[in-house]
Amino acid sequence: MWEVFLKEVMRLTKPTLFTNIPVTCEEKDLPGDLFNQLMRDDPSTVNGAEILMLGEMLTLPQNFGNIFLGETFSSYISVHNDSNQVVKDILVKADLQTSSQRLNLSASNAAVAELKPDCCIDDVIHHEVKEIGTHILVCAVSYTTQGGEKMYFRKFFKFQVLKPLDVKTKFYNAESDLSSVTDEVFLEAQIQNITTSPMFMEKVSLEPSIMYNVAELNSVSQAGECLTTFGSRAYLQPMDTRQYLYCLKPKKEFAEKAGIIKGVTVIGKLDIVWKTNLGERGRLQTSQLQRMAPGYGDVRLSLEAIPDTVNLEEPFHITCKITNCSSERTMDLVLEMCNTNSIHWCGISGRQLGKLHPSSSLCLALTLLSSVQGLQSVSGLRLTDTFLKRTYEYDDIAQVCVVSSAIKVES
Amino acid sequence: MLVRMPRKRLGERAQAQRPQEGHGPVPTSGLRPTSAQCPVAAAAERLRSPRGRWQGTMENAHSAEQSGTGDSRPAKGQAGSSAPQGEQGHLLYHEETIDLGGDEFGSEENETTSEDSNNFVDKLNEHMMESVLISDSPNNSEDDAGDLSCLRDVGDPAGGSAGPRLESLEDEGAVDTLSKDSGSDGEGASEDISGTTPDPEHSQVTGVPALGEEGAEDPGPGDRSPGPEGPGGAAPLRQSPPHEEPIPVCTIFSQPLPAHSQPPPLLLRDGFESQMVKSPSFSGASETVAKTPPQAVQPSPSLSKFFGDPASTNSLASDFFDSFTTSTFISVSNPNAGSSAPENLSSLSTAGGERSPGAAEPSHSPGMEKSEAGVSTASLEISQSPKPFSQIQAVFAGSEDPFATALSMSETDRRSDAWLPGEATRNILISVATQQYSTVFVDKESLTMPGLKFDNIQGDAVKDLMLRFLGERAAAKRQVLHAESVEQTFVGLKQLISCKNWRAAVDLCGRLLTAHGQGYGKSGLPTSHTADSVQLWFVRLALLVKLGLFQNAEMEFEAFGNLDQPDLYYEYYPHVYPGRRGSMVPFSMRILHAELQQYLGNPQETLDRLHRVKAVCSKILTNLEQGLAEDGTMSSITPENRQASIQLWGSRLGRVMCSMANCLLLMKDYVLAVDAYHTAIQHCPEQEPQLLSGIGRIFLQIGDIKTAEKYFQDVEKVTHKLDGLQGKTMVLMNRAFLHLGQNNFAEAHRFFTEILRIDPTNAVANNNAAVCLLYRGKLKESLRQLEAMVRRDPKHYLHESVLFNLTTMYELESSRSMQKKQALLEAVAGKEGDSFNTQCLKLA
Repeated sequence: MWEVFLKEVMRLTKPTLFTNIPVTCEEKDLPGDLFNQLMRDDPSTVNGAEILMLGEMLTLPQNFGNIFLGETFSSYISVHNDSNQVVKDILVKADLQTSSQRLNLSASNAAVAELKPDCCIDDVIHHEVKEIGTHILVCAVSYTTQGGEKMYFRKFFKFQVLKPLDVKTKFYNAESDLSSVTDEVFLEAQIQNITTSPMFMEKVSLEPSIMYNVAELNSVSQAGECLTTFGSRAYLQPMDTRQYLYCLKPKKEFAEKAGIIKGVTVIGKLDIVWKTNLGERGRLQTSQLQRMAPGYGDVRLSLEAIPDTVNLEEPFHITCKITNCSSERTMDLVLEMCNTNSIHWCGISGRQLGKLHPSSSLCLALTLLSSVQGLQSVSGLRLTDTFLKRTYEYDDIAQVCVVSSAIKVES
Repeated sequence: MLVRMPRKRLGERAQAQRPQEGHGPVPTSGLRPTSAQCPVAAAAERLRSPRGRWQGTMENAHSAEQSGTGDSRPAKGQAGSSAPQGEQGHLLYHEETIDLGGDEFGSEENETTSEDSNNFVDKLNEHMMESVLISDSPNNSEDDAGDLSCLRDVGDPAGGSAGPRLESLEDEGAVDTLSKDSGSDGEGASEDISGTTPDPEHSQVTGVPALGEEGAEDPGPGDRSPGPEGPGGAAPLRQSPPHEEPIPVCTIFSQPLPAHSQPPPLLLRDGFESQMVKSPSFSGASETVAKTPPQAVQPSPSLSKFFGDPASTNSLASDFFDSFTTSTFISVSNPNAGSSAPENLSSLSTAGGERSPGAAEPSHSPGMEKSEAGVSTASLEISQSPKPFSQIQAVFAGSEDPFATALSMSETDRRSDAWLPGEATRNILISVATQQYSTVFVDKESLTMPGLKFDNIQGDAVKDLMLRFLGERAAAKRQVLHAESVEQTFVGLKQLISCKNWRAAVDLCGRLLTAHGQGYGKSGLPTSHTADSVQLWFVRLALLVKLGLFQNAEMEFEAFGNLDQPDLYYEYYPHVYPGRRGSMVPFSMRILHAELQQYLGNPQETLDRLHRVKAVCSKILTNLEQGLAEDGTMSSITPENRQASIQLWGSRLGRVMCSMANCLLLMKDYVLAVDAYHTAIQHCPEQEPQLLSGIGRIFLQIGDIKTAEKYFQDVEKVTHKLDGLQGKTMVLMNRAFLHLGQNNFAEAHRFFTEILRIDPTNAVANNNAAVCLLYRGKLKESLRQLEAMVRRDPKHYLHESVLFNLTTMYELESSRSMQKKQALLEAVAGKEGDSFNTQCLKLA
């Protein structure tokens, strides 16, 4: 038989520690010391602490297991000459076929001159998995028999790469400061372990884009020591989610422009490094996190001045700033004011504001009064761009506290 | 392994897709043009086309989304209509970001109009998290577009050349699968877009594809229904089924976004979720617990005869008795136990002998008579169990002075048997004590009535395998001790246990218990207990657990309830054990009782039981410290005895803590497990180095290398507690493990080898060094090391874990692994008893 040139492939996940089943008894019990002696004789138990389940004996991986995006796929490839003949010019090639590409994983592509019977060619391949979905490891071996016959065979090993983490993000805009246009952005990232094994999060960091500086808010300084906000639990159980918080500040040189930055800005990306069983490492990055500059749209309305407390049924004044955030479009704006249940606007609705050039802004003093006590929301401003016949609505612009006029408003 | 599939599948799938896409307003931008224009060989096209279709679908999704606003992003519009070849890099870029951006872009574009700006506000207010695409590993360069397009270019020729070759092979089907899967992954992504901006169009699009996660065994709906895939009629047929059945999915995003009101089709996504969790490659957390199928509970022919036919029962029983009588009483009773009032038993024995008509010969030794008495009373008086027994004893009560016996009761008995009964049990015991000359009726429910539940576990898996693989002659050479081949006593039992014939030992326990009247079918029948019968049960159940026959153990353990029934206390038998107090149940049996549950997959129950045991231990320790006896009664105990008692119960508490920690470890609650091990260290300070190393290994297992290192350093500070060699070994071992955690197999191997230099017989270091060699690509060396070790001391090293590694390597090494495994089997046959776990040989 010539075709006895077999090739085996074994995935090398990290070995596992053997666990034993401790069964003990006491001297006075029927078996006496017997059970304990059996445990002492068992090489897989820990010498001196046989009750400890987790032993020190390493066992090889028993099955292929799961492989996750960002982990390293390692595999042992063994080509063994089972025949009784020497074969020549053996070329072993390991390719990984993914949905988009085919990678060569073999360390060397040089042919081995000859392989004696019962000898083998060993290779350990490593590949950091970069795609989700089906992967096929294609192992191809070509060789020449003693009779000069060229032989060639291949084996296929198919496996699925799964997604290890679920990452969700949310931006919070710190826009409360009226005077500032250069807003801080808070990024909350939820990272969920969707594998089936505990996962130690070695690093979760935000790499900001060039426009931002980032401060990580995931540790508390206590008595000079930096403690994480996650407590003693350094790992994520399967399906556990952990929240990370980051504060982003636009850099100075971009800060001025921030007011008129519209649409999507690139914030940065999360870099996640985790480890699992015996230090099996994985690393992923999110794609660039993008954020809509908050509510600016084409026309941004911001408040320049507003009282915090006003008297009931007494007019008060606010100053709005309207900025044309569009890049090249001049707008012709009409201001409409719609009363709500509590807020009543004073003045003429449907007023022409005139032309507003790109990146320019105008200030607008408005008067209104509230008919309801309590914390009231200023809503109901409408700007219509007559060129595009497009209306922009501004609700919940700010809140004022409305108090009865009997109480004297301070300041 | 590889799923073979009809060649035309992909094209058909694409066709199937089209009518769906037709719902979108830009139906033509998809797959068809892309692949049609692809001027590569047909096979290459197949490889490539998923990508095209992928994008096609995506584009459609977006178009559909944007059609609502009429405001489409220039980039996407371009992508949708552009020629595929040149734009692919560009498209790929979108593939990376659209998923993320998709939801954002969609809504953001819309924000220019009034109602959508409200949406945006809503979005902010709803505190909704957005899914983020995990693009790929960071080793891909930052500039995804350029990089990937390069890869793509590189990939194309490769695919092109691979294509024809693949075609020539039967495995081309596999590649088709691959393509299809990848295509559907894309759709998974686009589906997610629909998660943020719910849109019926999308759900329809996403409903169709068989998504990624299909393993080799689960070929997805397409494969399940190859019939309708015939040319032509495919499209309409294929549309509906995917909507009905949830399809296994590995979407790029997995969580449906919460805050939105989801249109009903989105519920499909939930279906996807659960599919993903259930996917066969995933293993549940509890699967670490070994589950043994219940052993068939059928009395063996011999036993059924034994119980069915009274005549033969007698003869067989007398066989047993003969074997008992050949030994002295001392050998029958637990030699490790203190004196268990033998005089009293001897007085009882006469009564038992008279009263039991079934007894073969009236002149038996006392020990035998005792069990015989148990049998007969049980069969005579069924429902009011303790009465006849106490009546028997009452006759002879006068002959003994209980107070004298109480005084002579050994200190050690009291110390180790002490237990605090529960409230109800205590009341019954008190009434037994106060009314010892009248009858106490005890509810049948609160009595322990164990019996054998199965008989068939004896057998020899090694021999079976030999018969199968090595033939009858080889199998005939295999000699193991059977229950019959040893003395039918505790001596024989110990012999079986120590030569690892645990199955036979279980069998022998069963025979001895049968002789005691607690045999097969006796479960639920009134019986009486002695310290020895309970010990026999303990041994039997412990061995079942050691054998991994957890279900069997559970069946027989059931009768013992929570080990707090009144008839398990000495006080219940004031005439058999006058003055003796405490529980017959050995402490280790309580631990076993608790631990059994974790192996059956109920670790929570284990914890509950252990906590109850712990509470009693703590209470007893408190009692002792307050100058009381263990059970809280006032009694004078000498300081030495008190100290010994405190020590015993302290170590028992430590044992409980260790069990708890083990259980928490099984539950993967590592934080609590580490805490529990720390508590255990306080109770067993002599085990501190080992336990600290164990904690270090736990952290290694989690992947927390830094904390592991910290613990290993702590170990080095306390190794002076160990003798020189052991301490050195432990330090080296820990260092080796640390290198293992840092992926440095070469260094790990160096340290394991270092251990072997100072302790050449260290099995763990030998095995672990061999494992490291394998990871370094040195299979032959690794095998040599393991084989040499096993050859050197087979008695010691034919361990399950070693053999498992060895067979795994044989399988890797050559096609002759079968012969080598059989050689191992022969080695095992010569050395191991019937308790050997043959699974590690991987022969079956």
